[in-house]
Amino acid sequence: MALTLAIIYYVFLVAVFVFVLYSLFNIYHLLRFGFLSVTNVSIILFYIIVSSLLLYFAFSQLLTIDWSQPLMNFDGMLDFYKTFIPKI
Amino acid sequence: MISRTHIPDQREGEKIVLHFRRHWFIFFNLFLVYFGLSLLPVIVVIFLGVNNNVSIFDFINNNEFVKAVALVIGFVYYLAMLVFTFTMWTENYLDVWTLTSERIINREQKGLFNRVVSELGLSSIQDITVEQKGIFATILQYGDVYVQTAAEKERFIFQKVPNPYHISKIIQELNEQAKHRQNYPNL
Repeated sequence: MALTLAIIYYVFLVAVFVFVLYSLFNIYHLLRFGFLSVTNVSIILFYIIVSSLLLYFAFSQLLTIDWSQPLMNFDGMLDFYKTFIPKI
Repeated sequence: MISRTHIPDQREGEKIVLHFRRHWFIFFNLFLVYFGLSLLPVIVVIFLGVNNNVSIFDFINNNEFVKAVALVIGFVYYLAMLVFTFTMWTENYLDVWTLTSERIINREQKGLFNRVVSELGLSSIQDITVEQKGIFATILQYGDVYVQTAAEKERFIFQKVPNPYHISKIIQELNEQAKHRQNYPNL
């Protein structure tokens, strides 16, 4: 079985899982121990909106990639290194 | 969420005098650090774009592997920045000190899984020290208030609180009232 680019996508999904977990811990603490105030509620809502937008944008960009391609394409590697050579 | 009028183990006749937390400038300082770090990838992309023959965007878009890696690293970085900033806010926001007519209640969030709640009877206070260090602390009126008790315990410290002299004055007044009540309980 050949390795595909999908492995990078799985790494991203793990990162998203950790992000969501930590976000939920934070929100839980703010709901459990924070004061019932406009500031607290506004910050929680603002965070949920911003993180949802970021996740939506991330997934919409990542969907444009063909994840079934082989993991390494050595044809492109030479061009990759060339980009780091400064223009003289 | 808890009400502003709620305090742990409220005693009969105990009144809340003041709630306070760290000065907004402390969070603003930390926020600036994370904001600066968020700009870092943009600066790197601009730097690579200026110094190379091939446009970095063309290169990323033409190579599926590089595009996948770049997007994943970029999005993971920004998700991390976002959640770190939010965690920092949570830790700062949940550090609350409450002055009541009988005691000082310290509620501190030390990391996501460590919450400390402690209290100090006003009548046991021996000494109050205020420390304002630095140009910003002087201009924006914030500082540390150290409350020392007779016991050999470590001092109660209110770190980077707004109007520290005002807070220390209130504590002194409440301390005198508490000692008076203790000496003359029938009055």
